[in-house]
Amino acid sequence: MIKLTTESNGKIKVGLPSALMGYRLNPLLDHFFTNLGAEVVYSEQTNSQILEEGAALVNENICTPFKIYFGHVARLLKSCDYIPALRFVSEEDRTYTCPKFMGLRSLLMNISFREQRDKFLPLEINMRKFTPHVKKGEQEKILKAELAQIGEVFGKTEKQTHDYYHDALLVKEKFEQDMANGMILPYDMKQPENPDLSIGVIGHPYNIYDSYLSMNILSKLYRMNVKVITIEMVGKEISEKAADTHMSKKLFWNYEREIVGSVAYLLENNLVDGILFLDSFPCGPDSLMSVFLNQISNNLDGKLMAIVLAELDSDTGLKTRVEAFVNSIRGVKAGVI
Amino acid sequence: MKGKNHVVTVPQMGTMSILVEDWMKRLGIDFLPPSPLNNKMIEVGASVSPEFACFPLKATIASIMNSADNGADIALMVGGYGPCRFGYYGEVYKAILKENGYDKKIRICTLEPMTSGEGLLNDLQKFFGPLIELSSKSKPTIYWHLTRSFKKAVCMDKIESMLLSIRAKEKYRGDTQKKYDEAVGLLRSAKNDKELAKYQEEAVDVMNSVELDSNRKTFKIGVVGEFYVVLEPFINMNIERLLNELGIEIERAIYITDWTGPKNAEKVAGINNFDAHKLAKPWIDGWCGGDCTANVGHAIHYINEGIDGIIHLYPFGCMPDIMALEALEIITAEAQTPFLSIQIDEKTGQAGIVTRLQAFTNIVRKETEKIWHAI
Ligand code: SF4
Ligand code: SF4
Repeated sequence: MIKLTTESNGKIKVGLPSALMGYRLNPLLDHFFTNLGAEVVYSEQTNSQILEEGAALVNENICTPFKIYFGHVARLLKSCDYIPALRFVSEEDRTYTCPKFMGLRSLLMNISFREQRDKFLPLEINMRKFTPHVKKGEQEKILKAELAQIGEVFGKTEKQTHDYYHDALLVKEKFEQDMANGMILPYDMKQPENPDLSIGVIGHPYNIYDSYLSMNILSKLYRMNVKVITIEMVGKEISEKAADTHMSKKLFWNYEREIVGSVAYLLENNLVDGILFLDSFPCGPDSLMSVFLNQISNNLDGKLMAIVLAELDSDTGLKTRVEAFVNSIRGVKAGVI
Repeated sequence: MKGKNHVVTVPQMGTMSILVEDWMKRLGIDFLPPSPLNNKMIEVGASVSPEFACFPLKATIASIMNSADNGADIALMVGGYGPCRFGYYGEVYKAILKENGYDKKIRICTLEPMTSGEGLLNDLQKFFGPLIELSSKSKPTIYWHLTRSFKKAVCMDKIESMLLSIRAKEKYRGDTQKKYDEAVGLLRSAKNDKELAKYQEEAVDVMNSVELDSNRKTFKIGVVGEFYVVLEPFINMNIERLLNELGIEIERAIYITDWTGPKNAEKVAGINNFDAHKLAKPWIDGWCGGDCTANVGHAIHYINEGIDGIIHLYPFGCMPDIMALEALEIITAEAQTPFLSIQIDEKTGQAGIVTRLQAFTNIVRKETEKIWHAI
């Protein structure tokens, strides 16, 4: 996801944090802002300083991915003219992302970086048809006003901005479809040529693809000759359907729906030899999923290991656990043959 | 699922069970009030729940399992469609009960609010379905009885709000609590609207008959936070009684009927959600689940009214209220209003809280006296 900052070329620089919802929305935002005439700058990959910087800006008990996001924003503010301040309510009808995605913009602009609030471009993304506390028609109005405001910054008309935004939504969709169809691998992932095992590495994309947060779990598995399948590779359409058949009440968080559905789908269709569920500390929605994931994997005779990613985890500790998991699956497989 | 053979309960949460009991009685359904929570129950709740689930889940599942042991076989629960975890509690309960072999003993019936987005008819069925089965009564009848019980609960909440201020000024410790119990007893016994109106006046008189200590200087603080930890005294270590006993009057941002009632209706707690959201806007712009935005708005309202301090209660890991906390810290600092935030989980002990409350009360006292001297 890294794009190196080029020499100043007179373009307005827009910074996109490689964190949190960036792993869903950056293709959209990249397309949108590039079309508007911006130079899009990504933050570097997460490292311990970024986490520390972010952690200093928010409450210590907030989840790690959130802290990381604030660290990325702090970095980008130093080199960019603008950063989109997202209020990401929902990416489809009838689900939410997470309460924290809804409060994020307020925390950025009104609290943590309030002295620099002019450097933020507010943008609310809400694909729900109905949202409590939002009056009918208000949502469209908010979006329209925000797009107009962004357009003004780049000297574009309302119509142009609107069109770019809608194109960008399609780009997001295409990106997701390509990952689901296997046309592209998500976020520079590498797969071994002749894997002898497949493992579902399941969790919020920012827990999986951020190599700092996930402690390089993907390359660890690559080196163990394991093929990895993630929720993006299963694809929303399939995972959501599977979740809805396995849960007696529809999950109202899209990520959790994709997580539960992917686990069910992969196990049901024998597409993996085991599942690693990566959840970061302390994640609200994920915290409730363990019960359901255990039930589903027990029912389907699957092997599932949950790993809670905390700030203080040691790399070797994770390596040992993952190795033990992979070896035990290999052992069982060998025994069967 | 005929009513006669079933015993219904609700998880313990403040005075909620009084409301539901009244409603169930009217519908002819047997009701078992949940036992008060205790440490043993919390331990059980924590041991059966996912480790990082929010604390209210651990407490309420404990309450449900306890009631199942005491003979209840249906637990009513309110549902929801997010984004905070509460809306999925019912499903998590079911999974936990199953894991622990309790699913044979007790069933969870979730009453879903009318906001699924799947159409009103569907929503009505989801809400009323279980109750129609239990009571063999029609939707309008069930609804009508709910409005009656709700009205009674509003009266009770109003009496509770009197308790929270009068108890701080009582001459003889324990007097207000006695009068409060008497007043609640009166209200509970009301069988129809006419009786309710009459008893309400009497209940107010009872509360006003508490002898006050006219020499005592009292202060007023606002209590905001996540609804469960605010409304359930066992969980918050009875913080309101402790504060009252330290001579502090309380304005609380939420009551049971504020929480269960329509979101923008008139509130026992002062301002409605709509106004609270407006006040919060410069800080937390828009709803972000649970009571985050409303809490920020309430705190601002209290500050505007000249409150002497604000206390914020939230469970560990709570998503909406940790964001409220970020805003409350700055808002109270700017207004120079003493502020104390208490995070509550199964390991929180009362001793620690008492010390923190005393320290906080001293700050409030000093700050307020500073202002008095300045005048
Ligand atoms: S979904 Fe979980 S990890 Fe992501 S922001 Fe919300 S609480 Fe944090
Ligand atoms: S408001 Fe907070 S503690 Fe309460 S259910 Fe929601 S996330 Fe849990």
